Amino acid sequence: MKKVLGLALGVLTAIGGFLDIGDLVTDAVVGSRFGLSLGWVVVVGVVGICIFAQMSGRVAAVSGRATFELIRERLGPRAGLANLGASFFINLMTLTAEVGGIALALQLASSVHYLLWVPLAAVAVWLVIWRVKFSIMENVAGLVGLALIGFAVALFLLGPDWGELGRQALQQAGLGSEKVSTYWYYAIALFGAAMTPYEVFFFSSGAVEEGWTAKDLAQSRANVLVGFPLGGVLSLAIAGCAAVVLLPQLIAVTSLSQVMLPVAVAGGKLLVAVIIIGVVAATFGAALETTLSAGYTIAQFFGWPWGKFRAPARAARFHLLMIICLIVGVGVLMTGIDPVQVTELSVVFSAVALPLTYLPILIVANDPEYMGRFVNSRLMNAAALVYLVIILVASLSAIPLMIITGAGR
Amino acid sequence: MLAGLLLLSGCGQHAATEDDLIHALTEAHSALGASVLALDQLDQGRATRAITETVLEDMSKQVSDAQHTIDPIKISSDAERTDRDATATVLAAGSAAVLEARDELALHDRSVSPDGLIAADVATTNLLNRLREDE
Repeated sequence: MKKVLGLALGVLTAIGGFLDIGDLVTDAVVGSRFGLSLGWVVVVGVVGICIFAQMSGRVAAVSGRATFELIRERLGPRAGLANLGASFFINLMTLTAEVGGIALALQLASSVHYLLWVPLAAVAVWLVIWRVKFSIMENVAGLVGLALIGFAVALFLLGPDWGELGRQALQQAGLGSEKVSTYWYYAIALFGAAMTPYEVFFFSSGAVEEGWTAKDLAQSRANVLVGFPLGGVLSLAIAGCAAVVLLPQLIAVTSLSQVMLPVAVAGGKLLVAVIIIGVVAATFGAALETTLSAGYTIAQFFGWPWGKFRAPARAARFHLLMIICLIVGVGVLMTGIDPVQVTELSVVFSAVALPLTYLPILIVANDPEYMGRFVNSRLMNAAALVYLVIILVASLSAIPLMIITGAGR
Repeated sequence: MLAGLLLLSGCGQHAATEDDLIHALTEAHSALGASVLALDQLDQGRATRAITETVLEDMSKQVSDAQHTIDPIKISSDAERTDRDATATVLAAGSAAVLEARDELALHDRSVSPDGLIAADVATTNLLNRLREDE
């Protein structure tokens, strides 16, 4: 019974913890501009993150060490440094976007300008990391994040023409006034949002934090293979809500506030309140994860003591680094830069950095010296190689498409 | 060949100018539509005041940004100037409508009429459709 409950908790946490500000914004933007014609990218992205998160969790559970520790050891300091540089920069952008997302969501609840919430949000993130146990922190954010199921409820309440949504999903609907280059730009953005690097670093480091062993692989697999796809369904629901309400009126999402409008149409104030709670939880949870990922990547690369399982005094540099990252994030946001623009850029740059992030995981997961009999199966390797090609194509196309389309305008 | 290149670059510039104007008008239309929708939901009691205020604040910035995007446009013909001036006028009206709605909501605790926004949106849409037909 305890095992079943633990399994259920893990899955629920994975669903609720799947979405972050990047997914929320990008899903709504593509829904309002392209309907569900980019729905296939969500499916591709979810399968991809399942493959690499499962691999990353297995590496941590079997070797007892987190991804970045192994990357440096296995690939050497130069390759590790290149990986670190790209990953850390993207992570910092994502952290900034998530803290901004918390502040934007709180503005929606309070009418208090989001800039006033930014420092408070950052302090709250730091306090939770400092004082709250890892498992409690993860589970609470994930479970409260389940409030985002409200988007699926909203889509149902809107009573859409399911046939039309299906036609959009199967790309039998035209692009309207949108250009093909813009369509592919947002395909890459959506892919980057689904496969943001911090998820993998956090997943593997979290496995070490919680003391996972090979016996926990079944739990890890269930979290990933059940939780993430169900989280992906919420991504489609967000896009669907925007497609049903905003697309016909040619309202393109550019702000988090607009994401709430279809929810208001569907379910009124009550549903809006539930969604706002979900958005705060999801962005707060993601801010915790990105902040910890920032600490994990640097500390693991340089061999510093790391982890919440250590008392802060015993991992002082790890904690100091996270504080610095939060201060940098707050500083960037306080310049007045639009957090939604930071979010949109972070998902595209995530796509650029993906090869550097995922190739090392694939290499380590195939190394019997670290993995013993738990190396990748042939099927897993085949799938991972297919994804490596997809990731490379996305990475190489991201910047040219950003230039050609003017960042999706 | 040189003449051909000059002709193409001229055509290219005209297309870019029209593209910029269409983009600015599209952004404004989107912002006005969102503002009308937000006020409508507030009026029906389906959206909170906080959300409506935030939408109007965000949309006023969006229309303002759209106005600024046409500032650096270089015109190369009287027709382009006419289009640019018409776009500037429509955007200014749209911006004024969103600001008025935002301020009305902030100052008075009563429902705000979306008529000004709708009128601005109609003007924006008409100009947008004309520019797209001319393209």
